[in-house]
Amino acid sequence: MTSDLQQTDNRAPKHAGERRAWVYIMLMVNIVFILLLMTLGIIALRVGNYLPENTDILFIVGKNPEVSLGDDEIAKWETGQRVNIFQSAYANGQGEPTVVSQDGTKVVAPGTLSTYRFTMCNSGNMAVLYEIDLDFILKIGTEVQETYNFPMQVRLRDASGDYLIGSETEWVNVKDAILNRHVSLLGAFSYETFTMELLWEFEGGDDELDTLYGNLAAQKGVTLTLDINTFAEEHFDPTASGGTEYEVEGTKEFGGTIRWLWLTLLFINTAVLVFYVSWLMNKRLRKW
Amino acid sequence: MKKNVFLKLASALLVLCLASTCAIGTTFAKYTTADKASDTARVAKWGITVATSGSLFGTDYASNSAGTDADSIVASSTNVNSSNVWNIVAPGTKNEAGFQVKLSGTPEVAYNVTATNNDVAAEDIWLAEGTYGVMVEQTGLNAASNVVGLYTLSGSTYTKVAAGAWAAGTTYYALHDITEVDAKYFPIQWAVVHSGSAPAIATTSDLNAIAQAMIDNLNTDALDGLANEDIAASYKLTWKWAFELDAATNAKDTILGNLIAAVSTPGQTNIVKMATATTYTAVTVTSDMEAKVGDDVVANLQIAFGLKVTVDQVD
Repeated sequence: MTSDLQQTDNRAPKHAGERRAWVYIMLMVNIVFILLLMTLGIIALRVGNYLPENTDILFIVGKNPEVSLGDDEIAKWETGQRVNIFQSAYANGQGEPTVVSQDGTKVVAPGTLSTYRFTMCNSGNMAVLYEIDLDFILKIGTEVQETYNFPMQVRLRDASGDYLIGSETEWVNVKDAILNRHVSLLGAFSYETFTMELLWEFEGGDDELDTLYGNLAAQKGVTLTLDINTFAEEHFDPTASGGTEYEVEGTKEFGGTIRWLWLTLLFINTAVLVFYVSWLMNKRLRKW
Repeated sequence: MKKNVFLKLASALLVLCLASTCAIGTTFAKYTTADKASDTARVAKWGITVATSGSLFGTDYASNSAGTDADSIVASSTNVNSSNVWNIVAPGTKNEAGFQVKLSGTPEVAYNVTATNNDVAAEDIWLAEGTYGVMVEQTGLNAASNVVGLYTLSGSTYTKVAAGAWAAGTTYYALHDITEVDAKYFPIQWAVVHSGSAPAIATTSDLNAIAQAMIDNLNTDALDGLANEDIAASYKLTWKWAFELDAATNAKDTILGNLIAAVSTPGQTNIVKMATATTYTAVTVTSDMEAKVGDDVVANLQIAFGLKVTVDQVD
């Protein structure tokens, strides 16, 4: 009888020590796991600046920026793209030719109206802020004119009818074309179509100036170059909306955002682990 | 005490983990992109010119050795020479070099041509229908002279002496160069030579008609053009006052020539126009270059001509 009790008493201290050690180990594992999560998060903050686009970083959706411009003829502009804003011939309402280039090159004249549509498409997964800027360069002969009075006017509007330059009733001289709305927002998976109109009024009120340019054109040549410059940068809120959204296959994930489902599971797991260990520790220490 | 410390430590770590993930979205490098597109056009050429050259009239006209042709304008001459700076015309003068209007250019835009007289009504030299003559004062008359058939002047009326004797203190005039003008006489022949597809213009002695014909010709749609159509067209207006055509014409030219000569000193002249069978009225030359009998204009002594040509782009 005495030997069984002695044997029982001898086993109890050894098992308690093992269980205590196991508790400490689990506790350390829990702490290390949480520290690991934090470290990975900090690494993601820094490394993410250098990783290729569209690379998911743990629970952060990879950024996939993709902004392109195009028009009815060219699906996507290349750098320094030459586009067809002007024409080589114009006709009146009766279909009679009123302005015809002698050599097939593009021309402008009193009475000509050029309309050009182009589209900015944000097929990436982040909202962007964009600017559109117009530059006009006038050359008489081979000399670029720094200051000039050229009788051409411009308007620029988006698809919703809001004017970036001019208004429904107001045209702006190309020399003075400034943006009414300097910066605009284009959401992810969205596009915006712009319509630009360039008008040289037939009865603009200064026939002498019109005739002067026409005669200069015959003597030396007068050319007008229009540059359309666009600039876009990511918006601080990748989910911000602007423009017209288009449908995409699958679920839309916005770049730089957190995958909440994954993160939620992670936090729940962490919380359960933390509270389990705490409960275990509470139970074990009470026995100790 | 120990369990509380561990529990608090675990909770703090959980909070730190949550807090660190909230800052992720704001610290990545910003994406930027830029694009540029351009197009160039040149201003369509105009380059239409409407040029005039030559002068219709001059102050001097050279002598023509042929004798049967009229004299042309020269820089200076002793043959026909203006007494002042005015351009002149006279029987036997001409200008075949003429006054030219030339349109040229090939614009890249459609255009149309319009012409007007520039608010200058065309005037030509003419002599009205009637009987004219020149009264020449008679000198050396005395009581023995027969004055019947001569004329005496009272105001502007010359009356024929039907009977009676010479009266001392009375001036008597003889009627010379009696000229019958059957119809209104235009001495100058006008001609227009033009190129282009518009109809031809007939030579005429009516400057007003020929000026209007030129204007109508320029306004015709034949000169209007589409883009890249050459506008080339030219008009040359010439004139000639023929010399020694026939005796009757010479007599009319003499009357007109005398009236034109009197322009430099406006007033009553010794040129007369028959009023009745026995009376003639003196013709007065005014500063407006007209010859009048009373209030009636019997001759115009100046030429006026206006032409304005405009080429406009059409829309």
